[in-house]
Amino acid sequence: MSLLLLPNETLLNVFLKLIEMGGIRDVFRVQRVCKLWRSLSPAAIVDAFKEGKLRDGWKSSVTLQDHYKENYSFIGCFNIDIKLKSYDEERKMVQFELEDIIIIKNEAMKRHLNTFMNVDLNIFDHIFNTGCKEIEIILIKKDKLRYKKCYKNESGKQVKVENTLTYSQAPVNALIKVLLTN
Amino acid sequence: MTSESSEGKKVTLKSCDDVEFKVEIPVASRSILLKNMIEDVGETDQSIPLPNVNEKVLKKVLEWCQHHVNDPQPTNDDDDSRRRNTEIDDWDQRFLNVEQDMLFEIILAANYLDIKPLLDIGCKTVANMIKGKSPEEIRNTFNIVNDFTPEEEEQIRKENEWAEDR
Repeated sequence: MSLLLLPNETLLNVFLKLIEMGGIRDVFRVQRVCKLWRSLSPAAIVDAFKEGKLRDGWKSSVTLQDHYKENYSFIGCFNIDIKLKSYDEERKMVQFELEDIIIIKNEAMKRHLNTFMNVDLNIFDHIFNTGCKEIEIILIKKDKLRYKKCYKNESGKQVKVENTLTYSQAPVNALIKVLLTN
Repeated sequence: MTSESSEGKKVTLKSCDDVEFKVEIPVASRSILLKNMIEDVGETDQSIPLPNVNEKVLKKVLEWCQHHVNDPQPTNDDDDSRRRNTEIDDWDQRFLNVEQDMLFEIILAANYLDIKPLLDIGCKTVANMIKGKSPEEIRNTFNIVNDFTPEEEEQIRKENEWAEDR
């Protein structure tokens, strides 16, 4: 009796457990074991995204997005809900879907966001391209990604804190589909 | 050949190698497949054939069912919370501390008999055996043949290099 004789559904379950117990890196590693495992593991990765079971580096990626969410929430201009839609095996890309984005079409806000975030992902140009209903955004890998966190201190004054996020912990080539609501 | 497991209302299960097990209905009902069959058929003297499970594996599965007989029946709502729990309790760990062949047979039987909690801990046990190992170590552990060419393997390694970054 071999592990390879287990039904694909059961192997997927094993990979999903692996993500929960070890992290998504283990599932990327199993892609190099054999062709069957290589073909099955992306489905487990997608399931893990869908079920919010990400840990380690991939969680960092979601955290990265959460930083946006946090900052946007602070600015109060829109809310982002990220959902994984699919995994493109051919392009090796994870496709997300951003839903319920309500954007205030305001150039000043756009400049403020760009300054505030101080990131070079070209993300805002896409987001503020309000002529589109759907946009693909590809996050380009960088060694370090700087971001600023803004909060109110005890006296209610807004304080900016600059942090450095090790972007190498985050996945690259994340293909994000943005749905814009005017 | 008959193997008695406990007292009370019983049902007879017959393994693929024609060994009969008389087991209490609550024990057999840990299997959703058997539970539904028993409910559909009602009380009967006829044995229920299990063509996909041999004596050795059925005995082991029934041992698990007996130990967990008082556990609440899993519902669909429980699925997610059970899946999220990465721990395996001590008894289950000892129970699944078996040869690989037997472990996979138990997983297959749990899948066939629709015993989700047993399937779940079986998958967790295998995941634990994979966790942290290199592809080569995994192949050695499970006796899997590397069917990639060196070029293919290198290509995949490069594709996934970013995921290995710390």
